[in-house]
Amino acid sequence: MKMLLTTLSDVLPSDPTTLVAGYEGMSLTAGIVIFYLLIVLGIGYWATKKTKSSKDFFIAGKQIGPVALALAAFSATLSGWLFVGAPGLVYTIGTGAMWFTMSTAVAYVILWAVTGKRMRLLVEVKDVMTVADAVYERFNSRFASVLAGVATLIGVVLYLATQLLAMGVILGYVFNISVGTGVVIGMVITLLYAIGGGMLAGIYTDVFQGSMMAITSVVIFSIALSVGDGMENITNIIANSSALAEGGLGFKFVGPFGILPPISVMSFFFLLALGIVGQPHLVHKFFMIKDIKKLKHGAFFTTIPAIIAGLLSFGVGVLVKSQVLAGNLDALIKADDAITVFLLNYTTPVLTGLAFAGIASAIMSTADSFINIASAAAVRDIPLAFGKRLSEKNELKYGRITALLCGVISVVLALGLSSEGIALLGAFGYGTFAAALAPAIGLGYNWKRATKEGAAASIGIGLLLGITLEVAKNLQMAWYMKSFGKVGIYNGVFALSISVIVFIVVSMLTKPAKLDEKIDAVMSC
Amino acid sequence: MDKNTKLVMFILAATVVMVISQLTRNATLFAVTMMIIIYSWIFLGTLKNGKMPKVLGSVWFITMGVMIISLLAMLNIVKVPENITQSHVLGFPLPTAILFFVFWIFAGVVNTAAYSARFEKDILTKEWIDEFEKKTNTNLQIDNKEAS
Repeated sequence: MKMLLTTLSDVLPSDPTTLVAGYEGMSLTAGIVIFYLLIVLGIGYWATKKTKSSKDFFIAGKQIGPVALALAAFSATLSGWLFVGAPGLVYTIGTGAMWFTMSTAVAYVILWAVTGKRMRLLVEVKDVMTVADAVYERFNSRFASVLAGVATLIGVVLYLATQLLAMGVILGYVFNISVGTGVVIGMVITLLYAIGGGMLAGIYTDVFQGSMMAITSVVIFSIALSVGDGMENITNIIANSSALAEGGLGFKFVGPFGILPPISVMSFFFLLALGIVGQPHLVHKFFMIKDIKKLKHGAFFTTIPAIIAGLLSFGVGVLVKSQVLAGNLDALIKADDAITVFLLNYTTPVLTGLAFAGIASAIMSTADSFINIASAAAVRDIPLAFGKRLSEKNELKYGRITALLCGVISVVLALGLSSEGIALLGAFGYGTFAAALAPAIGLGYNWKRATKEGAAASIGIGLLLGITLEVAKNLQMAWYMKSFGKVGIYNGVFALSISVIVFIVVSMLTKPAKLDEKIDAVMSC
Repeated sequence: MDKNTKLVMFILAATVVMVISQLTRNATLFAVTMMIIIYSWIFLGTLKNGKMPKVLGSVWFITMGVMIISLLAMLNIVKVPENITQSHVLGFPLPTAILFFVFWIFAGVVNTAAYSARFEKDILTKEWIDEFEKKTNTNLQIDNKEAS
């Protein structure tokens, strides 16, 4: 690894800002992005007209079809990551980065088999709109439910800030503006449709951008193969590069695990696959399906575009790497610029515009989903902690106000945090949700012996452990580096494993309460 | 102890083993327990009255086996880095091709296609819907409602 860094640093790094400044087709690209964003706003306007109640706002009026659900689930899980983060990670660590995406081999079947039917049946018999609602109905425990609500609210607002930063970078490139201005513009557009159209706007934006992304991915992958003269040539250039000769780094780079230890990349796979059951923005999509029988094709329809889009990440990542090693491109300053460097060097302004617009709207639709579940947590889960329920009219009204607040707080966080603060943001990721919520939802709804004590302990410990380990890692705290860091443990998997163990053990040691008849029916079906 | 509880106890044991494999950095043990845990969760979500549907269960069990074998094969090949590019399939080095075409695409398609194909027989039968509606006094059958 050290050898790799030393060699690459000898080459003048590639700076997308310079590339963007000299890119002649940028006005056409910007025009396409503006047109695309107008379509997104149009969807928001249409959805606002259709949003009359808190059910419409938070769970799209329970009127979502199977294809919309599938594309929304795909977009919400992987969209922005597939276009920006994944190609950059492939560029850095090789094929090992693909294990995040390859979790789709099992992730969606887990989501559908473990939670799909139960969550859709639950919404039929209980007034459920959030994951915390689901925890409350299953365990009849305000404490466990509030923990789930708090985890969702804090996690989502902070996670949203990282999405906005990415949005700022993309808009900055396209319109030649500062990242800060990009963050503000992105948030204003997102809030315009999120406050009005709620989840309905988010779902149909997901459908639009998910479809565009799948189509664009095929074209971009084909271009990558063509530029690199085929996959065999691309992988051979990397494998046989003198810059990566030490320790067989080049061979490992194109091998199945990349340059990381196999157990590390398998950990990515495990966390993304099993942790999907604990993602509030995915689980609550099952509350929205119009007809339970429409669950049938959902997992399949979600997996196929994820596989197609995954090819883009790999194609772009290895192609840019091979071009850098062959001396045709300068080394990247930031790995996340791989997609930008690829688009600006090897595709047309139209395709670049479609890809940039796809990235921007992917981030926006994910942000919209996050804003929506954060406001749902604020107007439903937190009042429940005090034994109160707002009226439907007030839920809608305060939901919109809270959505605005969440957006503003996220912008302030995105723009105002120090590097240590950004490290803290990184702690509230997928792994934290997985450790906190996956056992309570996934095991809780499929095991009648589970108890509220088990759920509360698992959510609390999962949350605490997940955040503590990630913060300690990001800040490189001494105790962490001497223990977990030294062994090379992947925090998310460790926290999830401990959370599962705690859930089961505490449940077995405590007395199960008699199940509500309707919950029993949900779990027995 | 009912069958769901037995399966949950199995998940507990497998999870403990997986934690040990993380602490000892044993990739082979991690690979096997990881897949067993993942599929145990899937089976737990699909059990009905403690029984796993035969056809769907068999398909998923075989897929789990294929994934474990392909994982072990990949782990074995990469022990010697130079072996990685000795042969290619569709342009990908052999172990990477196993990852892409067997571990990912084949498993992803078979897992989800099996769920779709067996949905009315193994996930949600007409009888189960009727039973649920009777117990909860609800009407899930949207198509029938609309038709009437």
